[in-house]
Amino acid sequence: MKYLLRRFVHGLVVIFIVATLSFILIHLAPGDPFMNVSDESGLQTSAELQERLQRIHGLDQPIPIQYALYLRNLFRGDLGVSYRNGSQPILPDVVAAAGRTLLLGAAALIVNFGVGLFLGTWQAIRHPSRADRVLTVATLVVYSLPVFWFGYVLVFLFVERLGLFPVIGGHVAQRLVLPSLTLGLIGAAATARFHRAAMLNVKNADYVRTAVAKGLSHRDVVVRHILRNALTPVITLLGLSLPLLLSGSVFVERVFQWNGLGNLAVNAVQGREYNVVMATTLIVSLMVIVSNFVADLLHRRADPRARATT
Amino acid sequence: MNPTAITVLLVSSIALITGFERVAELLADGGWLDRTIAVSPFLLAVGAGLYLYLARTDARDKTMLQSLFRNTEIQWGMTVVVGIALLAVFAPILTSHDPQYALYGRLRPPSLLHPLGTDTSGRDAFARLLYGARLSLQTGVFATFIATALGTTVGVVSALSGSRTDSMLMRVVDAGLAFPRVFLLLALIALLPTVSQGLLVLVLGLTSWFDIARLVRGETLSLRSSDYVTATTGLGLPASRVVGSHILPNLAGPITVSASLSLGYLILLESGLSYLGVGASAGTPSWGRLIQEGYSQLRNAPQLTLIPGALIALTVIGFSLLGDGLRQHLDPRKA
Repeated sequence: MKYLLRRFVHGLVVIFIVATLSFILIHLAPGDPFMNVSDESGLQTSAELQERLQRIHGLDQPIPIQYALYLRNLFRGDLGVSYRNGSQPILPDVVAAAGRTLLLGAAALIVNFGVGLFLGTWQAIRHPSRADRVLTVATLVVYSLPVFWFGYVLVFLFVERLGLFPVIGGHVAQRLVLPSLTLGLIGAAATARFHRAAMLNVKNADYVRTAVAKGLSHRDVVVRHILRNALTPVITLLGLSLPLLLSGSVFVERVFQWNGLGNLAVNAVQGREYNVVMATTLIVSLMVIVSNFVADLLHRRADPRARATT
Repeated sequence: MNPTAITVLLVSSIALITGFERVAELLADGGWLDRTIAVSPFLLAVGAGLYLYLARTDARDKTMLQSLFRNTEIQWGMTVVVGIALLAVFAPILTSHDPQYALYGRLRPPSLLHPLGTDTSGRDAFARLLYGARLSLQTGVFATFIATALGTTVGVVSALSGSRTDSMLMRVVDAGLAFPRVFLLLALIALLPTVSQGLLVLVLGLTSWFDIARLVRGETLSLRSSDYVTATTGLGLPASRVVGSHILPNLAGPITVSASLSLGYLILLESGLSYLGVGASAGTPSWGRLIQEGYSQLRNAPQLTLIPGALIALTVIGFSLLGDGLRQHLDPRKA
């Protein structure tokens, strides 16, 4: 319990640091966000309009006051307003995008660990064999593919050639298939490599030899002794794979026009909307902190040794 | 004669030769950043060459080199990497078209004159692919140099300094590894007024040293507690000497492996940023930009998207195989 509390405080501190860093970065950004804003009549901003906009957004205040306001707003769940787009609050957009990214990520995670663990286990059981060697190379190849290119290959095969999916539109579940396959299969290659190594590591342990010696069936040895022990590092991998998944989803979202955090961030970078970029950064770090926390808890549950330390 | 020096020599020559015209151009009118980046592979190539010359081959080295090339993964990795590098180096011989000449007519199908057809703006796709190889390789190589140098420094400093500095640096590394790198890059790029190739290399290098730092720290810690390093300290050698002649040379192997793997990854990352349209904005296109320009024509002209992507994949696979093979070579127990 004490441990939980400490982790929670630690997480809060990290969020605070990220928030402060993004505040500093926004203010280091060159130029004025309103430099190229045009008014309703489509004209370039006059000095007067720029000044008015700066006043509305509080940019004429001294920096420490702006910082205090920023933190207070953050505490209230207010991420600021868009500099374009009629000064709409950012928060609803970011939350909706985060939801879509999480949906995509969850589907990809199922593909990733479903396929990856199966392949890794299978390879480890057949270890010194031709099939294992071929799959080891194959996973290396898949792992090296550019995510966005793999997405286009799938689109080319399943949409353009085979016509299995509609080009645009369709039900959410239908639209989810190809992106989550793209992201999940590439992740699965990494998971399979990792899991195979973990299984092989355990395979030579003394207790596995003992289990074989005392006459357990092959199946029991694999499932109860090897697989169970090899799954502990997989929980750590689960926590570590979220950053990779989020990075990958930036590209996949682009390919499949999936309007998640990645697309939001890329559009914001192109439109010079620092506020939105930093808001997505903040949300992403929140997601990573929470997922590390969850992975840690799972790890402590699965491995008594982890509970013993601290 | 050691694999690290060979790899450094090979990779820096690739960078130098493929970027020869660019290097001249950057030296003439680039900023200090571009100039530094332009000269660095030259210095590295000279350094590695000098080292190899001074440590001339004897019979033992020859068997070592032979065993290096007996590894299947190294053979394949080397073949792929050298092959791609040759494509990049001999681009002007392999094609007579200018990659920027835009008056061939749009979206011509592949023919003898245009092996991959022409792109959406009427430029020769094959020429763009070959010249794009130069840019992708260079960016990857330079960014890897920066990341490796920075990661090694931080790792060694962290391992040899007190627990306070060590834990602080490792916190930074933990944070860097936990944060999704693409979002970090997007946040940094958002702040740049314009993204030049040199700046992109710098940003990529500055955000990719975390895993190397962690690896180097671990290796340094285990080296420091080894008997022969304890012995050198016992002999009263100054710390600089201990690090320079006893720790760094023994780190070279793991660093080379890690650098080879991150080279592939950085090429992938750069192509990804170009694909998103947030990479270097001007000049010759890299492979990622080709995909960005081509994908709207996936139905009519799939080769514009699929071929550049396949080359990116091939390059990354080459460097992955090379890294994996080197790892096996340096540590036969893990094979």
